[in-house]
Amino acid sequence: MSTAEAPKVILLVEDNPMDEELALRALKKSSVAYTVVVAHDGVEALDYLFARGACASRAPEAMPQVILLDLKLPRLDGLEVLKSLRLDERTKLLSVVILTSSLEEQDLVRGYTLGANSYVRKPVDFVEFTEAVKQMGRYWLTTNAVPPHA
Amino acid sequence: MALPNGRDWFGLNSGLCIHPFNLAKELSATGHRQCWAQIFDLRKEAIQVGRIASDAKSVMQHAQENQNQVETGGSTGQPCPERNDLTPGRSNSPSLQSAGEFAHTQQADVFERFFTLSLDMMCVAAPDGYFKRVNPAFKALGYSERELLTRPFIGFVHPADVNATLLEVEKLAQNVPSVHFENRYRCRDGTYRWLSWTTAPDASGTLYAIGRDVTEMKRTQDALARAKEAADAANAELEAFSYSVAHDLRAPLRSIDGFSQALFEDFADKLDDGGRRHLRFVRESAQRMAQLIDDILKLAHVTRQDLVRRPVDVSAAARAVCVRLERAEPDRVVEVNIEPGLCCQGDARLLGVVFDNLIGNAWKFTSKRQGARIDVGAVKKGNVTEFFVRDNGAGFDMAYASKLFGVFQRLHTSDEFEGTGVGLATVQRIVSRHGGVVRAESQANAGATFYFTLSETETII
Repeated sequence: MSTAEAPKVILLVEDNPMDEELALRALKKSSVAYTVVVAHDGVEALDYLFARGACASRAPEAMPQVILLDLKLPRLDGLEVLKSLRLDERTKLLSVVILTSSLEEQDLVRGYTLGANSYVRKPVDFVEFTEAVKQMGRYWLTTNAVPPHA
Repeated sequence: MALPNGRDWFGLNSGLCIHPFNLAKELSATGHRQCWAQIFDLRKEAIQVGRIASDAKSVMQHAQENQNQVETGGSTGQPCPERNDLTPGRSNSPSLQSAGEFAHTQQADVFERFFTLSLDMMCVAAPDGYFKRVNPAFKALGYSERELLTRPFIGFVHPADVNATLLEVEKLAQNVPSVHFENRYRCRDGTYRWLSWTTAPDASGTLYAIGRDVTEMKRTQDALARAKEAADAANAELEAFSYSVAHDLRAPLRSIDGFSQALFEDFADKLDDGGRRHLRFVRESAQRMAQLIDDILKLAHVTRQDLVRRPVDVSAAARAVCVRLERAEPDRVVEVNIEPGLCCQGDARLLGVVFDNLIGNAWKFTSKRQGARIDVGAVKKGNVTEFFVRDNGAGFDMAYASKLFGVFQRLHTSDEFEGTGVGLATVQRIVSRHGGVVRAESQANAGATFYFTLSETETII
């Protein structure tokens, strides 16, 4: 008996609608099958991850394979989201890629200290960005192995 | 308290006035160590009592005299241990034999001259807590000599410094010289001045001290500390500002570039060459602006960073940059000569940025030259080492040399050689933070040499 594998979920946490559209456009170019869930700020992101609030009815197996996390977000910012999800049993092993404009050393250091798995700076050049996203998609959805969800 | 040698505590009855600290030394010498604690507990009272005894003695002596006018002398006047309102004046009376202990003799002539001349305050103080002699520099406090000599010196000290001063006096009583002890003295006009004292006792417990007015120095130190605080605060603000600016300016640039590209891709069939060219320019501009933002940030960062001076292997730093350039463009053939053993006292990280820019430029501007060559070395100019980076590339017209180090200033078009015009401004900023100077020599089409010093010896610290 084979179970049809549900498409892997990418959680994109991005507040800027234009950046969101460009990210989705770039993801489309990667040839991996996936479902994208978009959270527009830190609170929405945690609601989804903990299946609470607006996302209380979220299917428990739809935990994201990877989280693309912007740092500057309204309400709860990226690093606070990272801190929270690393503290919770349900989410502490999730793969998190910080995807941000900033290449400031302090952000890099804080990001990795709080447990990010990867840090990618969003380039201005869209062609470059598309290429990077393609590589990321392939890597995190296919190449990278993850522990089974609780 | 009766003492082994039959003298009572302060020899009051026998008319002697024994300094309690000397007494303590005597007692310890005779093995009466258990007296130590009591003695030091009573030290203040001892000084007080000692002074009363001395008072009594001098009042008796004066009473035996006829009218004696003791005037406050000029620079050669003898100080008088007055305790009341008697008009001070010069006197040759034998009753001033106690002051005579401090009279100048032939040998003391030299001392007298310097005592008088000294810009620092110089004084002699007796174990009874009074100044016996003060030099003219004491005028800075605004008191007359008489006023200085007729009040216990502790009376001039700022209340908050009294305890520390008494402790210092106690240390001196144990024959420990005191160096750079600071306290505040009240001037006649009520203001306070900070004085730094270096004091040594003699065997009899008399104190010889030099006091330097350090009020201005302390004020300057204070101002410096506050200025540094302000600078640090400004830097922190600038840091936060640049971070914000960089982050927020990039987002719209991404959109400009991204949606131009989306337009290009989605409507390719509806666009002709002209349309596609327009979009290409839009994208190029957005990307260039992003590069400018990055470069300005780097420049600002370089200014803010703390300079850490350590011995740096300059040859190795230069070599690291060359290796990086070679790896990025393995097809280019460039002859690189780096003088071995170059070193300096400087910030390794910032020096790396200097070479990134200078050698990077040399690399860039020799890209159209066959037989490209880059030399890195140093020449000694006096006791200053001048490092140089020389190339045989495009060079520049010396007529425009003054524009070389300006921010965003370029001497070539982007068509000839790419660049934002921030590299040399960055080099100049780093070099001048080290206290050095950067300059360039060139001939159009014959290459260029950039010289820089990182000299400390030229900087006044």
